[in-house]
Amino acid sequence: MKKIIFFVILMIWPRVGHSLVYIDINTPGQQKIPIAISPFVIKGDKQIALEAQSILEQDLKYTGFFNILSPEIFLENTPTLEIDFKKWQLIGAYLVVKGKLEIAPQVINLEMRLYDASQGIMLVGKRYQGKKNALRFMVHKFADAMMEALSGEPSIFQTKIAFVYKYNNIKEIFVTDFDGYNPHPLTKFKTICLSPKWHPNEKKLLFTSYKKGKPEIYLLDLAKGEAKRLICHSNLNITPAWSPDGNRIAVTLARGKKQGIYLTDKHGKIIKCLVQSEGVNVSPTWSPDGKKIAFVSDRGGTPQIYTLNLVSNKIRRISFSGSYNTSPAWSPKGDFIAYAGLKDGHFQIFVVSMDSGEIKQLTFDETNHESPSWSPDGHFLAYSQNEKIYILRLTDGSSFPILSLPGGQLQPSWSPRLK
Amino acid sequence: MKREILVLVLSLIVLFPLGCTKKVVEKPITKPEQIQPLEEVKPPEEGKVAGLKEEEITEEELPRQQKIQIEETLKEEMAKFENEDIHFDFDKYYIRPDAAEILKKKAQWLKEHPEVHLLIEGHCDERGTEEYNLALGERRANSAKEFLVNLGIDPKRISVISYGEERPVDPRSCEEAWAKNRRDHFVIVHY
Repeated sequence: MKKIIFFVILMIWPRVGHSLVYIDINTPGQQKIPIAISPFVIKGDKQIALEAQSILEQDLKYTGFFNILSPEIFLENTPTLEIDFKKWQLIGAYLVVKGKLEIAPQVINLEMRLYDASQGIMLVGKRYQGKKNALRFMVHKFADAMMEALSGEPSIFQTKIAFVYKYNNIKEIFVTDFDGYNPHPLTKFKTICLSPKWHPNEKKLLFTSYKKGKPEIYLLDLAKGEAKRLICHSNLNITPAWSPDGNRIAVTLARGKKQGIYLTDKHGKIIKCLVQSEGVNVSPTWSPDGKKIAFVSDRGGTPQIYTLNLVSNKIRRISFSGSYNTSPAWSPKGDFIAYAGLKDGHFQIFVVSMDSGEIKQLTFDETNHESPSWSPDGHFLAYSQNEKIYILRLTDGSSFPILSLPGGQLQPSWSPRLK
Repeated sequence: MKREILVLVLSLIVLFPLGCTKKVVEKPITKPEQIQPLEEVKPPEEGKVAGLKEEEITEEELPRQQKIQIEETLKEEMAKFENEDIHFDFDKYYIRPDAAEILKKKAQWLKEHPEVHLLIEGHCDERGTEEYNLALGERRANSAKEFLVNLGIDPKRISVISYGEERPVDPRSCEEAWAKNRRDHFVIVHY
């Protein structure tokens, strides 16, 4: 019996080097891993312990990689940090999480462990201490450590999503946790604010605002808590995009009679014009190696996605089906560009492979899906659907909304992993 | 020393009488009695005075009326200029024939009023993506500006702004509303 289980594991989870890869992130549609979250040992408020378990469960569900087993079938039901692997093997739990929570008036101590029940080993063990309001953060941190142990890379549990919040005639920049928790405003400009774009590794955002009359680029420094005007070179200063090293910005300006995409330094000073024409040139997005940008232009008669090689200056069209393709977003690994394309009267999210040029449709509902933004691990896309923020899980193609707010929510921008 | 004192005394003597004469001059002016005879003239010849008055009044009022009329017609013309939008085809920014006619009228009026400066707002309908529409709105505003410049209007008198799909005139989601919203709006900023 043991031999059979071991054989099955080998079949599902291939070995890479000497370590066992539990989750092969490049193989979609793989079997979900059965995992048990054993009741936590509690000293103090039981409600907080249940909350911690619930946050972990939500995190694991978000990834789509796990089958979370019902506590009703657990053979080991008393909260303890001791583990009897056989009791978990018998109910088919390959992974088990154990936890211990001590709640003092000022601080909480959280200890969490991840076990491989089939092999009888501990994969992750962490102890956290912090204020009560840091509980979510502690659990998210452990969940990321879990994912790193299982797949070789942390997930998105320490990321945020900035977006445009629309009410009446006003649009402001808001931010929320990756799971829709704690949405709150970043700007109170009481005017039109658009196109938030996260810095590649710092707590900074670029966005467009009409604060001084015409659309201009602002820099929001979340650490300092201040916003300042950064780019105001023409009547039109829109769609900023930070280079992967954070030292340069690609931005659309209209100078003279032409509209083009310009390169500036991180202070907004123009270095040079990258592309320009009599028509539209907008929405630049950088390749992760910083050698190319993708952008939208109507140079072929309709809005289409093009790439510009910054070394050779060669321009190549990459969207070929449909008459209206916009909002390109280059994937963090560089292998895909996601975009919004008009099909049968509605905008759908597509990805085009940078290797083969193959185009794949990801959304299908007869409604508008716009502004795709990649998660830093490349496993998810945030986008707006009928003015609500949705998450698309690329491993199984499923999608779900993350916010339940009145008003409209648009143009999501997924943050890097924040420390 | 003695000389200096002498000069001082002499100058005081010279200055003092001047001061005195000024005071003397002021006294007759303060007497108001000399105005009375003018009031006495008014009552007798009423008809003639009235006729004269009317002529004087009409002469004074005529230029005032003209000014008001000019201001009102200018205001009307300005309102007409601002209220007449030009429209575009979906996803396009070329000037259509109907828009060209309107722009020609606007150019003529701008030539007649060289003091007028204007802002052209480019707008889009809600279809299409927001970022693309921001860029498209700028092209639409720029198309109208170029057209007017080609008709001889100084480009310095025209500035442009794009509102993309942010400010629709008709918020409905139908072809009729979209056609209205794909527009350039003209605002007189200075005259």
